[in-house]
Amino acid sequence: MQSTRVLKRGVRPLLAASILALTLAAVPVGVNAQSEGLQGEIRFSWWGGQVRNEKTDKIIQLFEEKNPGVSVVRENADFAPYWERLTIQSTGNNQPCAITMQSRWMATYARPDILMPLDDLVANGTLDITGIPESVMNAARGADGNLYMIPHGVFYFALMYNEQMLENAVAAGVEPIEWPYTWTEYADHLRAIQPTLPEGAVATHNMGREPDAFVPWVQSHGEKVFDGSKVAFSRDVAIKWFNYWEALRNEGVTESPEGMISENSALVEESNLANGRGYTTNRPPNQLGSVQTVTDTVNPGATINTRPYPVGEDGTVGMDLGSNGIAIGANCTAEQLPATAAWINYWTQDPEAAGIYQSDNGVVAIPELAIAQAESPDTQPTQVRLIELYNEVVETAKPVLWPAGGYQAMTDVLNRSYDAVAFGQLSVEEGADMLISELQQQLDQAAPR
Amino acid sequence: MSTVDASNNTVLTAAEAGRPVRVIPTNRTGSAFKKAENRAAYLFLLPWLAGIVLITALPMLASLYLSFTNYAVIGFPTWIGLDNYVRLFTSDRRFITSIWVTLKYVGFSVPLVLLFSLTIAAVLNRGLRGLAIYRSLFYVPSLIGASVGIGLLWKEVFGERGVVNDILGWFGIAGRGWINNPTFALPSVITLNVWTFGASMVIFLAALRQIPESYYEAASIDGANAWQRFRRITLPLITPVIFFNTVLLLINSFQSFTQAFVVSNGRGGPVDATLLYSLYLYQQAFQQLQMGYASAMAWILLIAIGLATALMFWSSRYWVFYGDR
Repeated sequence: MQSTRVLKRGVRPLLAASILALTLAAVPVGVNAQSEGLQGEIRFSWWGGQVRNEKTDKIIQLFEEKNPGVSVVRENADFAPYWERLTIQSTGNNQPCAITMQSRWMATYARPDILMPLDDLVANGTLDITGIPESVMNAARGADGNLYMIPHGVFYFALMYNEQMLENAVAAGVEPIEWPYTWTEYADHLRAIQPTLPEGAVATHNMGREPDAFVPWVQSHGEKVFDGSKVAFSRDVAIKWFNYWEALRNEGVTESPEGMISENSALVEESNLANGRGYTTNRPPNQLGSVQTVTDTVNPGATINTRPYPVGEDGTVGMDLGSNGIAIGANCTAEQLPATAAWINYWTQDPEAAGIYQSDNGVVAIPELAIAQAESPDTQPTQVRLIELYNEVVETAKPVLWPAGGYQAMTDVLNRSYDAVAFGQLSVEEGADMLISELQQQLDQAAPR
Repeated sequence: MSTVDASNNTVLTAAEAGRPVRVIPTNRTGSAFKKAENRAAYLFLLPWLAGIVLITALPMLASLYLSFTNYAVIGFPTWIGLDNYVRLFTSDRRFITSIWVTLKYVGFSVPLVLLFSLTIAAVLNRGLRGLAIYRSLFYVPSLIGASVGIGLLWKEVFGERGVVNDILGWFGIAGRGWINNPTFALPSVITLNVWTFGASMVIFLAALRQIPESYYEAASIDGANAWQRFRRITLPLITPVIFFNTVLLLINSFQSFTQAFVVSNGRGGPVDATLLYSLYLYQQAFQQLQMGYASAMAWILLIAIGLATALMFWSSRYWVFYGDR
């Protein structure tokens, strides 16, 4: 009896310790690390302006407070230089551990020597993807089928307009338009509104050189933008696009070609929309909050709203959807991985973090968090509108599969070809030919070998 | 044994002065001593040598190798022989455009900078009061002119709602977006470059101050007017400096990048109007990630600059006067 008691006394703690050890071993690495207290320094990179930087910094501070052993090195840049820097970092195997990634650019970097394939980390629970819809997750995979980022926001492109200008126009007898409106109806609306605008203002920014507007045009005409790494839209649809904007420009509904280029690169503070010199333009709706904030300063009393791109004559919706997420650099060490995974989990899953970020770079990918944000009295009205519009278009949108270098190439070649048309150096036909041939040339160069 | 120095002072030997005498070891031959001295020299040269090898020579050799490869930055280079060079000259329309834009830029920039800097230097050399202040004021743009900040400022000045149009507006002239217009964009960038004439001006000023006043006095006595004095005395005597400034400006202008990059948002637009060669090279390397192609462009640029400089040196024998010949 006593011996049994002794055995029990001796074995039980041993057994308990073994079970505890086994249990701990069975717990996924990331969770284990979090519970034990994470250590180390990781680098996190993202793109964006001041508002996004401040929000990101606040979230990082909260994360660092909760994980006192972790230090997050901030690396931010504007959108275009961000990718150039990432390319150079990738060449030198010096990319950050946590890299903000976008579906449009992912094809360039989605390879195991640049970004870490994340499937195993998801499978063993180190990375938490709870609540992220499968369709959104699928868009985060590379051509090799590997998962390369954990999406945190779904973005789309739309039009922004000045509500007061619209109200004045309606008061003057212009018919308001309700989505879904066709491209023709939209052009007629712009023509009708032009005479009601203040002197020097234009009804629309000339979007002839804007890829974000060209993509919905192509898709709403029933065509694909790319087929793998091949240009898939027709010469005819490109000619129609140039003709559409040339007609509006020649009628004085858009800016001059010089004004178009200036507006294309203008800061929000300098833009026609914010300053009451333009009724509508194309800007990502996730910028609605910052555009409204700037407008309140430079043109008090004006309200900026957002609405979808027009649809095709047969009602086809052509809007593109993309996702932003966080990838892990392939050079991230095993010691840095737990802290990196914990940071990604915090960024993508934590309601407090999502509440601070307020879908600043795309509608938060987890629908429950998006609903909570839309219903929260703390959420800015502009961000509520962003989520509402997303819900309107998400079912009918057509995500474009951008090939490696595709977005860069489209921006470059569409800019140059339409500029040449607008400045009278090429006919619309020659512009369309240039667009297709040079775009294909760049895609061929960028295609993975 | 004591000796006498140039000032007629007696100089004692170490032994006479009671200082320890340095004894040259008998087993060290002359060549061993020389070797030790050479070693010391190489040791002192090492930092420079390391820099030239690691930072200049090796990257140049790597670039030469890459110019014969297809190298998309991300991934490994694959050997394609002369394909990059062939493609540049046979099927790249923008490459030819960038050469043409660069030639226009160099062709206008270099003479205009020379003209401005020499004219201002000649004016400042007339013994103005507060010369140091003027010299500094004119020199400052050459220090900051190639910066991103000044590029951005220029963009605002020549923009649709910029200062230039405001001034034109006072005279009832409707302006335009100068830097966003294909006709005026390159002249705007050239104007910015000409504004940075200060460095050349300072060199000219130093050269002008070296010319003896007596030459001008003699010419004046002989009845030479101001233009004749400048044409017959000043200009010939400063031809070595004109040559020096021209070569420097030529090399810098061929490599000009920042100003065109900033005013065109890195695109070389509108319609490739500001697509300088270096900017196109940058686009190929860092925007389209064609590092092999960009390397080939870099070598062509190096050869072009080398040829232009060689041409300048060859021509110098006909127009540069060194005085001692």
